[in-house]
Amino acid sequence: MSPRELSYLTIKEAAALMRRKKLSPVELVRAVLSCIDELDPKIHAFISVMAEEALGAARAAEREMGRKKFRGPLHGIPVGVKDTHYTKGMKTTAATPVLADFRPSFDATAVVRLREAGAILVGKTALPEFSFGGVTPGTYNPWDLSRTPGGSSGGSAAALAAGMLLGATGGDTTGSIRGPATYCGVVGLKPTFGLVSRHGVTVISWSLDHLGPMTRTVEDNALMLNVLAGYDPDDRSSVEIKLPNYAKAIGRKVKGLRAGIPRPSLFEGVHDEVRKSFDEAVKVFKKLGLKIREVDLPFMREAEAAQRIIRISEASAYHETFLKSQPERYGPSNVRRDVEAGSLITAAQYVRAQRVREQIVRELETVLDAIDVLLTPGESEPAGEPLRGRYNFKSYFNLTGLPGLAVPSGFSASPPGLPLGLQIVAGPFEEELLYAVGHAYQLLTEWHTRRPPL
Amino acid sequence: MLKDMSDQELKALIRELARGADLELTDERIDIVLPQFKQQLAWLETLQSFRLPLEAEPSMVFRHRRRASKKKSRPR
Repeated sequence: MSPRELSYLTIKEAAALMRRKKLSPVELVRAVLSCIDELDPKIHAFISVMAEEALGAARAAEREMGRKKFRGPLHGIPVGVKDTHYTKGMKTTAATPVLADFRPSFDATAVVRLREAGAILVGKTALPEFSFGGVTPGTYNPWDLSRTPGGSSGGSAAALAAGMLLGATGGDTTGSIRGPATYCGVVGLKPTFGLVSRHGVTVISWSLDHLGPMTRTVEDNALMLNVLAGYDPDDRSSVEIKLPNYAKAIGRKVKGLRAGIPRPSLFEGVHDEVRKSFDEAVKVFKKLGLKIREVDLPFMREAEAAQRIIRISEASAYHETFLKSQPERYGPSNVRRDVEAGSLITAAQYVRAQRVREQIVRELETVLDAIDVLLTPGESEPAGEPLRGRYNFKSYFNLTGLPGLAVPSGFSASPPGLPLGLQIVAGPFEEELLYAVGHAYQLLTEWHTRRPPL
Repeated sequence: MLKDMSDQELKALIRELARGADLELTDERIDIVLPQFKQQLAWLETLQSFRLPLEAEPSMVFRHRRRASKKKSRPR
């Protein structure tokens, strides 16, 4: 296989080849590094690439496998993490000059778990300054190099689409995993709040930030969540629950499940191509035996306002020291402006937003009582098109903490060739259901198998 | 009331709020912050229109539990 073919293997395929000794971790890491050398000068998906460290880890993995020690499906798999994740002794910049020289003294919990599972960290992926925003400046979409991969986990999504990684992580406060995943035609999970530790990851908002896996298939996503999920006493929001084997949800029967779709008025401003693709996806779900019904999503406008006020209030608290000690070091983005403005929100206004949040969560629970999953578009428009969607289907689930899985669902005709996606949402800690439904959809469609014209 | 204030009045308000937050904002920074401050006021106005019951608590400690009722129609 050529380096390009190797680097487009799924995690599941690569793991199976390594177990059968048909592929070595060193060969796979070399293939991935070769693709990064060839493609990243055009895409700029990485802030740093750790070639030597990755090859060293690959050799160690190879030695372990030679002793018949297989740590699991991620053993020997090249992955990337967003450059918000602390990596011990290595630069962790969050794409801001404020942290340009920051070398943490410990690894983020997610990094620890990936390393313990035998995954090989090849690079740290690009993002907008401090993860603020829906675009990743300087990083380009592999499907159209003149367009954005989205943000803030744009580097992770672009690297996966271009075959420069087999798996990656992203962060999601307003949709920053699901948005780039949709724009780049890959799979991204924002898990239930509390399922995946954020310890050792730079913060936007403690009560809205989520961290999750990004992959090219739903099945691979489940394999990564198996490693990333779990209680972490160092993250005060982490929840102690009995964890399932998420990969076992793959192939589970979905016939008879009740799926909600937003009522037509909630599609106001959604791009025609997105709407068409969504309607086609719904037909596939009907074919799979899901029972579709329209539902209302209560208080979407108020939810967006609450999410924005909570996000920027908490971000301003996180940035307080930077704002006071080194305001001139912020980059040319709007981060400094936004956190300065956010510092002016009063405590009572912030608490009101949190009270509204609780009411909306309760209202949404009533909607969820009548359905098993909810289907929405992943984004309201293809990458780089004007943002005209009236309602934000992504940030609504940051506010309410429910899990959302972005899955590729087509390509636009005009503008041509841009990935489109859908979002599948379930109740708290029902990621298994998302994987069952998402995988069933991928069995009947081939959108996730297409490759960008690089 | 806030939405009816002029830019000059809003800038004066920003100056006072910044002082309360122990944040140094020059006139130049206040000009830059003003559009975002106005956007925040619009969000706050939306939140003000939400009818909150007196007993509504904030999600300050935000934790989920697995939902209890399992529907019969869900295959396992």
